[in-house]
Amino acid sequence: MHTSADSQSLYAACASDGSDAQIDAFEALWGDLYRIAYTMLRDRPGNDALAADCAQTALIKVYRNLSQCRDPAAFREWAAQVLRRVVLDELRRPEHTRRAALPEDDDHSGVLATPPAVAPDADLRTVLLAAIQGGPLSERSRRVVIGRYLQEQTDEVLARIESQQSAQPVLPCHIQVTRAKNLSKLRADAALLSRLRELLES
Amino acid sequence: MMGKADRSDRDAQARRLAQIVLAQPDTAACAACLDAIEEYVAAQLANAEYATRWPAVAQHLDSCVACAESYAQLYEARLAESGAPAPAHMLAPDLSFLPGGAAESITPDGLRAARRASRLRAALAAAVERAGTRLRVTLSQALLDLLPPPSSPALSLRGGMEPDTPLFALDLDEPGSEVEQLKLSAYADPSPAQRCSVRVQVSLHGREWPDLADVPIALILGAERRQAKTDPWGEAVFGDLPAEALPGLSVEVDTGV
Repeated sequence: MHTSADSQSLYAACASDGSDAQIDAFEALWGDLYRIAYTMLRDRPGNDALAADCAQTALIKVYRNLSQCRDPAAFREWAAQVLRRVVLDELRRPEHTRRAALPEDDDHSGVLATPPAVAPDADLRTVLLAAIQGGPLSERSRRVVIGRYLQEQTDEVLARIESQQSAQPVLPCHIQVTRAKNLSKLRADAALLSRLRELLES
Repeated sequence: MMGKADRSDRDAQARRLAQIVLAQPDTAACAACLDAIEEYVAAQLANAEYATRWPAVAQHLDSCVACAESYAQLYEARLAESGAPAPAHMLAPDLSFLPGGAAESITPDGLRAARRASRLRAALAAAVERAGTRLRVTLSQALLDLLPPPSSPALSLRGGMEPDTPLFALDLDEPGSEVEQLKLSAYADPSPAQRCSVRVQVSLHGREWPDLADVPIALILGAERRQAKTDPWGEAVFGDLPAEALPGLSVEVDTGV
């Protein structure tokens, strides 16, 4: 466990240009950053090299932006945040696609089978529910979207429900990704979007 | 029957969802989301009010799959950090970005050695003075600290000293126009304690044994100045010196005499 005093002295050493203490400090910081990167990338192919690349990039960013660390007592955490951002940016590159959503999210078509029929005078809620029910979403995905928006359930509650239903651990972050992916599918329906715009403006 | 307030809540829920479905990709919003996502996840893991505290982030995560996946990556990483297994082996970092680093990749040990060598060069440059045919070397604590620790016993001194590991050994190549090499070293005297002998070895251009004799060497220790002449091997030894006085000690070689 590192204390804030550790962080403060590590920050001072990292800033002491030309000293051997600076080398020691960056070597120590490297160990921290590499371990975090390794953990974040543990299920990726070639994770050792990728973790080293990310930790190296973060180490350079930390050195070049030392003056932006507003609280040297929290320097280690600040450096870890820099590293985590580097890893996230790296993973957004097209070659690192990832699926964190619930497994069944890809089990259905990405296009609307039949546009849901709703009365021309249907209200916004009815149109949305029809789109969700008739759209290219699994049952679980529907629960996740409706639960959050129309029943105001938190992702923690939804995760508990889905964990119980599937008898597998489901994290709130899985719920979030599932919802984002399924809302994105609804966004592909031009007719729905047009109808929603009309209803919002009316 | 549904009350007015309930209907209003249901309308507001539907409007929020419709707005999310209609949201367009926005790279500025992605950057803002990623900037705030650390605090967002930290609050979530601490069971704090994250979605109400960062409503823009929560909305953006629903409208951007890439950011939602980044968020999930971070969430899982923060969750796993405490119990994650350590890597079996770790590569060394490249510290070439630090001052004194190299144009190419350099390990921490490599950089330490490079910085030490650089400091040693600077200390040696400060230690050596030339004036005409006279060459003076002044030891300093910084210079003595930077000298690599002597490891192997030197040859027995002709003054009768036993071979021993020197207290320091300094070799200067081409320190002056006439002097090819100047070697300075110090050895602890067997007794009394804290006394030592300083050995000076001079090689001159175009001169070899036995023509290296009679080069005047001066040893200056504060106000004290001792004179000696080299033997045919170019060596002079000054005995019974206080070891603590080595920093500040000067040796002067005059090749013009």
